[in-house]
Amino acid sequence: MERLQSDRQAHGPQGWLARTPLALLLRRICDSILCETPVRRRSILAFVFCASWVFFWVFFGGFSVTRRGFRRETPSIRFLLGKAIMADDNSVDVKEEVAELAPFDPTKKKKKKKNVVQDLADDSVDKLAEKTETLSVSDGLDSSFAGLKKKKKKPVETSAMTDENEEPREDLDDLPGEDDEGEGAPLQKRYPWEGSDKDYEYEELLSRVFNILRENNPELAGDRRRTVMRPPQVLREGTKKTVFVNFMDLCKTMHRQPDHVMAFLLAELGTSGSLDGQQRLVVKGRFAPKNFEGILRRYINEYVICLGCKSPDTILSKENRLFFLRCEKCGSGRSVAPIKAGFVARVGRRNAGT
Amino acid sequence: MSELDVQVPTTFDPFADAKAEDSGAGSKEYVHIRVQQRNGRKSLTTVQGLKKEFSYNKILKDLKKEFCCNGTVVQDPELGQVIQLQGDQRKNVSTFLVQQAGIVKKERIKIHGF
Repeated sequence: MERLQSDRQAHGPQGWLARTPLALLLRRICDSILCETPVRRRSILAFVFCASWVFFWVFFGGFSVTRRGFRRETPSIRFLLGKAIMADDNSVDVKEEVAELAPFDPTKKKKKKKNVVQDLADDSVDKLAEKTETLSVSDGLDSSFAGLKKKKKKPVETSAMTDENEEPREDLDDLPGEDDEGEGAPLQKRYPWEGSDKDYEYEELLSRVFNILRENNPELAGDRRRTVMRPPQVLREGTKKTVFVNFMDLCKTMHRQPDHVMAFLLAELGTSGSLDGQQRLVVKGRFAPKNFEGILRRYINEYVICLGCKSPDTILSKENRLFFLRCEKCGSGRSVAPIKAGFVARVGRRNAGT
Repeated sequence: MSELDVQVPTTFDPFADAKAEDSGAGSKEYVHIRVQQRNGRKSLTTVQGLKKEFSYNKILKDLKKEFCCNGTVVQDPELGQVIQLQGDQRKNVSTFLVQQAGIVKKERIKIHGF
């Protein structure tokens, strides 16, 4: 040990770098393992130093990048580009902040809009006050909505209310759902058109009627929710078989037994097929999704849709060998034709069977 | 006797009109035109349910000449005679039967397949 110490003092590098504990440790290891001659030792030390330095630089640099999670680069690139990337990172940070802020913007805009509209509404209030007679007409129209008349008879309040209510009316034309918000807020009136008098457009009145109808009894509004069928997903199994993936889903949306649908599909396609383990329909032959769609459309027309009210809300039941379709909406019933495969020509090898 | 005869109504045959329609226009009888896939892009068209009075061979001959395809008349044990044509001739057959030959009404034709 003493010899080593003296060696170091005699031959070792004198810089502050060499006096760091890490360097001392390294040199001691080098001494003990590798060599005795100071020249070789020095070169090796320098090499190890450089290598470790580079390694740490690369490692920490790369680590910081990955931890931020922006992008992953090879450390060497990171090392080469150095500060340029650092600057870039900063810019990315800023961009992210902007992106985070972005969703808040519309609300700000809305608020601004409201303010503007309120200003406009203030002007219109004077006009409104003048035309109280015409208000009575709309009163008669709105009289079915109980308890709202009283507010209207106070002219001061109406003017206050119209300020806020001018703006939502425009929204209402687009979004009928806005109504609910209006109800929720106690300050706002229930209907945006109250207290205002203007010449109503036909479309506006119609939409208003339908909004009311939809609120009170949605069935009469004619707002028939369309049952949307998802398009059939079709895969090819090998070259000669087709797999109808979402067959079960479609059966469920139609409320029909898969067996019935399958029988119809196979009869129309004129092939054979079966359900596999995952309840997918495997059909022999090559078919496009379009083909399945056409057949399903025909199936729905024939076996699902009620002819009277066109609703798909029907039940197919079997009564002594005959299929009957009964509508859940209007209660009408009809018989439907049984599925017949008809003539199927023999396709394929002729000498296989007989 | 004669009075009794007058009072008793003539025997009512509930199936009379059904029979008449059946024999006359074949009201419930659809002509089914189907297509079947063969190997590759080939396919097969079958015409089933034409009236029995027609000479299938003559119809077939005209069809073949019109569409430039081959075909046969197949004897099926249940369905009787069926015309087979090569290729997907569904639209051709239906227009031919309705417009050119005028054998079948349009609402009597059912086109199956995809």
